[in-house]
Amino acid sequence: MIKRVFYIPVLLVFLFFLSCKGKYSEECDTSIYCEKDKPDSSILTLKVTYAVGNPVPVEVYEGYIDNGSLYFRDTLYEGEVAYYVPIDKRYAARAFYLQNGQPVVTTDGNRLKVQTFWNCEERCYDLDGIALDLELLR
Amino acid sequence: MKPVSGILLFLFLYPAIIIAQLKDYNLHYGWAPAFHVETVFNFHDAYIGFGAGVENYDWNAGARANFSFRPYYKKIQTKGDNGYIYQWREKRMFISLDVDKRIGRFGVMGAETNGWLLLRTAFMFGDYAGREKGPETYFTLSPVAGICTNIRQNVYFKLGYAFLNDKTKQIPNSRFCFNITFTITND
Repeated sequence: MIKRVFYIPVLLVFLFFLSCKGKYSEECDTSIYCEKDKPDSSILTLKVTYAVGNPVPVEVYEGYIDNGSLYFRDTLYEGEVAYYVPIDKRYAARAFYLQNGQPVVTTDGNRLKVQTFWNCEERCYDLDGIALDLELLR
Repeated sequence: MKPVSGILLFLFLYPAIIIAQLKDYNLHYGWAPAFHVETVFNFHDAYIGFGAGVENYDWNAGARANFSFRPYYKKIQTKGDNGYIYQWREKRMFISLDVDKRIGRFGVMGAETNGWLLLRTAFMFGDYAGREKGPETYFTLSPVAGICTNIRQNVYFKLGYAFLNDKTKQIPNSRFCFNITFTITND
């Protein structure tokens, strides 16, 4: 007879991998603003390594950097800048640095989706957006 | 990532569980289905993995299919042909065919312990965040050597030194491998 106890961890691990992240909560925090209507745009934040006097040129693509379209260019004068862009799209960004005379290009990308959470038995849309990490490796 | 991992885990484990139900089969042939979970890591990087295959009690050897992945994006840098340094957020994974052998036998605090050798033939692939084309794909051999302790019947704890070349300058190829292998028997 096979030790059936082995099925339990197998089943648990399998269920763990297939599980979905549930955000339903019966908690009610009235101080939280609840956006009930799905927005058409959200926040895309670019994080760069900024040093005073060294602005960082960036390019943002809709899609991938090698198979997408250039959405806009900008030059950043601080370490973190946010843009308001349409949701349900994938974005990629590149930042251009000169480090000890050596050109360095950093890249990151992600899909901008709007998450939902439950508060006071209402479904609210999360407006946090996504952040692309273009900071230099230390 | 999670659904893909779950489907792969299911594909690996389901045949092993079916085989385990064949009556008396491991009694006759010395083979038992086996599955494992493991981590390959150093101070700069970590993979977690799982797989399934067979273990032979007569030969003290096993063969398993394995899937391992880095469960996070890691910043790495590569040098382009134009002299530029490109920095990516990289996710790496590999599928491999693993053959391992337990050698010698000595007791450590009452537990049966063996030397452990593993040879892994791995296909490396991955993903760069923001770029459709991922990193270079290639086959590599990854040897592991260490010790294996059979604390409970059917459960093997294995710890060893692993050499795994994932062609990333920032990450040393020397790693640790910690593996727990379970066998399913008809006893």
